[in-house]
Amino acid sequence: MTRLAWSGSFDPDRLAPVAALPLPRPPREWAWQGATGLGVKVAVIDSGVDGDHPRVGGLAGAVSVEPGADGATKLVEGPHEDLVGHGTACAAIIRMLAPEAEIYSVRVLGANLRGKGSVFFAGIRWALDAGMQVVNMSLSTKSDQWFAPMHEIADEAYFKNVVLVCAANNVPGPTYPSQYSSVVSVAARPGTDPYAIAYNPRPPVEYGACGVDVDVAWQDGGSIVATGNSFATPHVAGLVALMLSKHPDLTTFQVKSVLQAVADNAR
Amino acid sequence: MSQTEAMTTPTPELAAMLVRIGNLTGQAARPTLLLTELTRAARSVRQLLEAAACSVALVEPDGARLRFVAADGVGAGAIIDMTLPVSRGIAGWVVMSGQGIAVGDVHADTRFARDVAEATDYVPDSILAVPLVDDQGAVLGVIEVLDPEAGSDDTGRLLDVLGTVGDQVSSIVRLAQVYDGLGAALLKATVGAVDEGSFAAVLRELAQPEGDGGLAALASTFQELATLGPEAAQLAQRVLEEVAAFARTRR
Repeated sequence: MTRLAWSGSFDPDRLAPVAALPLPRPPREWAWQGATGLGVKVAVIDSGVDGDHPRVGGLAGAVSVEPGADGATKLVEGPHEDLVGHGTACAAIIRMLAPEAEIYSVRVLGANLRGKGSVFFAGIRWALDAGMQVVNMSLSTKSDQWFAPMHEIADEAYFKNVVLVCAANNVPGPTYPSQYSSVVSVAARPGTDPYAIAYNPRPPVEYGACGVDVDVAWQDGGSIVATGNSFATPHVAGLVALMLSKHPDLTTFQVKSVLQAVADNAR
Repeated sequence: MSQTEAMTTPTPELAAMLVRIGNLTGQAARPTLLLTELTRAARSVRQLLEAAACSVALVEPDGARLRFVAADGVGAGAIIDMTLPVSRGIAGWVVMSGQGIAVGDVHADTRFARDVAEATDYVPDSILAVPLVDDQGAVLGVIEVLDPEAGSDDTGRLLDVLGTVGDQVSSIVRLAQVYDGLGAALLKATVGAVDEGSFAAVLRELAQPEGDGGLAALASTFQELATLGPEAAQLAQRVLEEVAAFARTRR
């Protein structure tokens, strides 16, 4: 079956073995066995998170970024509603993998599309300033005007060892910041093992994770079955949280190397 | 009397006529009716994916609501012209995030059920939704598919396919907006001429890169038209000729 150019990178017949760092065997055990995410701060930049959802089990903090006049933004600290259910889904996946991680909700989606890029950017800015170690971003922008600012803040995060985990997009063309090599870009692939990932050395997306027909938490304490790169992303964010709780000194490029080493197609 | 002198004393009648020409040429220059094209696209997608329904919603100019403008299949008649806040439901998340999504067991999404499904007397089991994005990265709307049968065993691929279709559909929306922008620029030039009393001065003002359009935007629009192919460029040429012919009648 012919697959589209930016997709299908994780089909078993296209996924070539990659030479990875020789971590102690088995690499998954070295990477995160025994870890719980304890001591790791994870931001979920999304539609808000319902901290009372039983699959989320509470939040360490929450902030809502709202648009102001002339491209300005303002931060509103404190609990907020998940407008859609999507942020709750992401947080619940992270909680499943890293039960003791400190999860923060950063709501950047609101009642109006105007100023969306500024609000999204301000959400990332908050995550860096607030000392987050992992940032889950199941959203992106295709706007060229945000190429440079997003690139700059992604590099800043990289050198601060803040791991930005970004969903790739199903729509053709570049999206930011998922396009940059300084972030961990993720697409969905079939499978039921939440710890299983694959590595693709060709752009635009480096890592594949569980994201097809997955049971996820949703609004009003409920659950749905959903598919999307946006659900694969928190699987990788959760694994990074585990990894950092066990190996807190890992840099972002080391995290990416370990993710490659634990990939199903690593040899 | 020279053309420039004639344009320095525009009258309300002149303005009204130019407004009329601007509106008519903008509408006439559109290659076809946008809604007809979007409805055709919705029908094609529904048939291709053997779905119960397919709909297209566009972001309203205020950026706060989505309006369903085209649909095919069950509930199509009921959903047309329905509006939803962009902050609500699956379609809202898609336009806010720019990400496609496929959801099974939609019943659990109570907001979707309340806002859309009940209004159309149809509650689907599954929904696919991808954003419509223009070439500058702005989200124009969303295309939604209810209960696709074909390829439903590979929802990841379905999302990719719909993403490609959405890319094509967004080009239809973008093309219509280009023509709409053309009429708006002519209108602004007319109103500006009446207010300022000097057409040349208004043109200079409109040519400034700052502001919300003006001559620079008009030039950009024509340039964009040219990139769309020879037919679009010819239409643009006809618009200019119409305006020039009108100006000659005022000498």
